[in-house]
Amino acid sequence: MRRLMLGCLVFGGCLVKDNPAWEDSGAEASAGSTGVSGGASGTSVTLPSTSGGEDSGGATASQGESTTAAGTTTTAGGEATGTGATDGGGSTGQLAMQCTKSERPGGQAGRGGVRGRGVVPSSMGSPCAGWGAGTAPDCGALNFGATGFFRLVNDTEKGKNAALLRFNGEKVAAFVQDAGVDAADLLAARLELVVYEPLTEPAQDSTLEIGMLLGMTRPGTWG
Amino acid sequence: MKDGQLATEQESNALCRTIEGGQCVAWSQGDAVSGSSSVGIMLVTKAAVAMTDLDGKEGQYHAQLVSEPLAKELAQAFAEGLGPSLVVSLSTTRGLAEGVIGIKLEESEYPDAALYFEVCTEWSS
Repeated sequence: MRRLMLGCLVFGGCLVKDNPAWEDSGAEASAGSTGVSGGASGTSVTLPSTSGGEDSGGATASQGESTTAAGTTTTAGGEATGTGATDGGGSTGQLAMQCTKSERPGGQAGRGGVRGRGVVPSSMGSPCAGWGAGTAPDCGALNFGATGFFRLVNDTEKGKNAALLRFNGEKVAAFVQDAGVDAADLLAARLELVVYEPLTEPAQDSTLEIGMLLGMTRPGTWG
Repeated sequence: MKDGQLATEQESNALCRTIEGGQCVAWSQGDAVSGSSSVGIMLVTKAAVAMTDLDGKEGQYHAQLVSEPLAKELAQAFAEGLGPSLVVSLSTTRGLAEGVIGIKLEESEYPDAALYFEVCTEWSS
């Protein structure tokens, strides 16, 4: 048995909540209580409360894409049993260890401090008509607006747009360290975002893809 | 690019991890989007939106959604101080005529992005 991570740590938040999207993916809805504070940024928000039930924390995507930390079954207290995660083994002949109990999410590791920037690969064209003409970009129709909103365009003709998130890596690493968590015990991360559409509800389901970039971290800079 | 403006000093874009003194410090992977490795997905469904809509305004939603579990490698990269960046994009095509979908960042009215971790507390021997 390895170390136990206690929840509700650092950045003033305690969160054990559902991902309602799992219901669509055939997994049981999860448990938990909420009451989330905004954390380091000072923003505060209360999430919808849920109660009861058990959770399969590692659902498989409804679009047929598999996720990486599948198989977890989490109880209302945020503990899970019978996860599908394994560790170790390899070429040394040792038996692989299997995770039999897990907790999630344990607290917010990084609210606030996001350096969000849109990314538009020039190789994939521009989602904004008028870009590249040497004048102010004409993105009004695309609702970039004057706020921190990123339209996730992915059109074969108009191009692809992505949002780039850069958490304060030093703070996140400190959070893990302060929680007394061995890096080897980390099963997965989850990202929370506010998604917007000018519709009362989605007209169609969408899947957002999340990619990882390893930067060149230097002292005094964010990852 | 943010708010229809190109990245500038101390900001990032597809090709520049940061811009310092007007000079582009490139990503080691080249292009940020094509060079990123997929670590998982976030589902945007009617059920998820209905449960997490923050304001209930007519004709729009602001849903605070949590991703599926993302790759262990991502969590470990954070824990080890490697400072990974995240690239969020649509995984399927969505023509411009199909409506706007996007995410809110650094907008005080809405909570900013957050990270959570899942930790194994018992391993079988």
